Amino acid sequence: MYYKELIRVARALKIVAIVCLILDAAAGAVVVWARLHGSLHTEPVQVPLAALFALAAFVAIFPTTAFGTSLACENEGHLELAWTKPASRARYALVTFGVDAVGIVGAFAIALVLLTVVPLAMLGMAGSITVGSTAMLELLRDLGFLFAWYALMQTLTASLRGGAGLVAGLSWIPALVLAVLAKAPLPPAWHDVIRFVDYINPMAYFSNVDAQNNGVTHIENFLGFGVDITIVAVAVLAFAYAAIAIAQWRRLEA
Amino acid sequence: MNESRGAAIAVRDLSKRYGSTLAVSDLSFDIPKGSIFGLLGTNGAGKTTTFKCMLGLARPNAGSVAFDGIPLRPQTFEELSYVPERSALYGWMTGKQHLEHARRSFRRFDAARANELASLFAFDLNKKASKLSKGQQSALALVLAFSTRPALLVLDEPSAGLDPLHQRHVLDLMIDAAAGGATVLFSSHQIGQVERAADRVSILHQGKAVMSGEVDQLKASEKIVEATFEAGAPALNGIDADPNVRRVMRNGRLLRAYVRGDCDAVVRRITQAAPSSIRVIDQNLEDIFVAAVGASASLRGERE
Repeated sequence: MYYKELIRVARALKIVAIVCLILDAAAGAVVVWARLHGSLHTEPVQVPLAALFALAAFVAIFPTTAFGTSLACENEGHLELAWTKPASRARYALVTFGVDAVGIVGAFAIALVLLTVVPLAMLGMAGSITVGSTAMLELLRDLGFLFAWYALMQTLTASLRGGAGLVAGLSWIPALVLAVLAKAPLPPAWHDVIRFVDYINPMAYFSNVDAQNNGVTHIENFLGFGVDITIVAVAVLAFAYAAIAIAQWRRLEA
Repeated sequence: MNESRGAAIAVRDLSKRYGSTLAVSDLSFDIPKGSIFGLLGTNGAGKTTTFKCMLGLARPNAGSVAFDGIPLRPQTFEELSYVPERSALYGWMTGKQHLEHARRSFRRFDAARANELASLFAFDLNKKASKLSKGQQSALALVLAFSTRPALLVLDEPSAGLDPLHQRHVLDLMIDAAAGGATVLFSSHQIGQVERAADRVSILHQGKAVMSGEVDQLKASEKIVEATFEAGAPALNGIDADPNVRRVMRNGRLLRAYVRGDCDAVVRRITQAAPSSIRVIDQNLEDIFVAAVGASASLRGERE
């Protein structure tokens, strides 16, 4: 049953890899040009692996958003095929989620290698990557953020019969605005409301590279939560949204 | 009730409403194991809705469906193949990938049978489904359905888009499957095909079954009394009121009465009007269909 999903995800990852390789080639050309003209200056900064995770997660949001419409794609004329398999709808959806999760990890890994490690290596800065003691937790946090975003996309689109891509694409705007507003200097009442809404907004848990102070890069999410709380929060959101999406999809009629 | 106990498919009092439209109304039928059951009806009669309700693709408002006496469950589809009216194939997948998907989804999938069927319908398995013609897409859906050697086949307009040769193949496949013990339920607008393949039919009109039964019995019980008159066909007051008369057509000197059951009384009544000739003709399924749907429509019109 997962065969079709594997092909779909493999096709998407191929596109992600091609786009990343094109960007690598462009970056490589710029580096070579700069070296030839003697205008390439790199400063000795430490790059925490968590920053690379954050960048990879940002890039992986794009394919994750696309994967998040996978149930909605079935609604566009394929339910007669999908729902006449010897498996329950919940199991079908869970298999889809499982394969999509593999795709999300794949997209994250491709982005991490091709868009962070490789460009740093081109600049001769691969050695400046520092791996902190919480690297594994940070990896979990950023993957968890992607899974929560994916599950939200499924919730928003699972009952749609068309226009899922548009809904998923446009959902970035309110999600990002709400997330950014969590840090904005708003009146206390507004601030409380925004923060409350942001608790269920996966985008608010996106790790963003805040600033560099004295060569140290700060990474935190819009809510300012620590890594452990963020992992729990995104896990809860991912499971809750996935459950809502399955419940919606099961209620549909072909 | 005794009949439904041995039925491969038993539909009881099925009703489905979409908003204010009653798509299927109190529909009941039994399909014995190993038989071919044809569902006939005009567009919008409720055939596809019936299939969808039976297969859990739509939620009926009332009624029940049992397969071998058991309500539909996911495992039912291990033995049941469905070909929908409109292609549900994934346009971005090739024929081969669809077959591989089916192989991994159904324990009963027979790869050799799939290849044999693909050759029969003669289309390129390496092409993406979106690049196949409508007929080829129908053929691929049929290959997928028959490759699992199912015990139950539900086919919604299986010949749609196919050329006459491949339409013949579909009929032969259905007949072969039934001969091998499978139960086939199908709908078609090609009444000739239904007449050739089906043991039993149910004629749907505006969501209701207006006639059901074994094809041979229906044909034996449905007659046309055709009379020719020297002048114009007379009005024959009261003949329309005969409960056995479904429809009376007058066309110049010709009068045709579509009669169900015993037609002796109708023959006597017409003979009193001194026709120059009178004969009784067996109806074919198309006549029966037109009479059933036409009578139902005119009755409805009279009530309105």
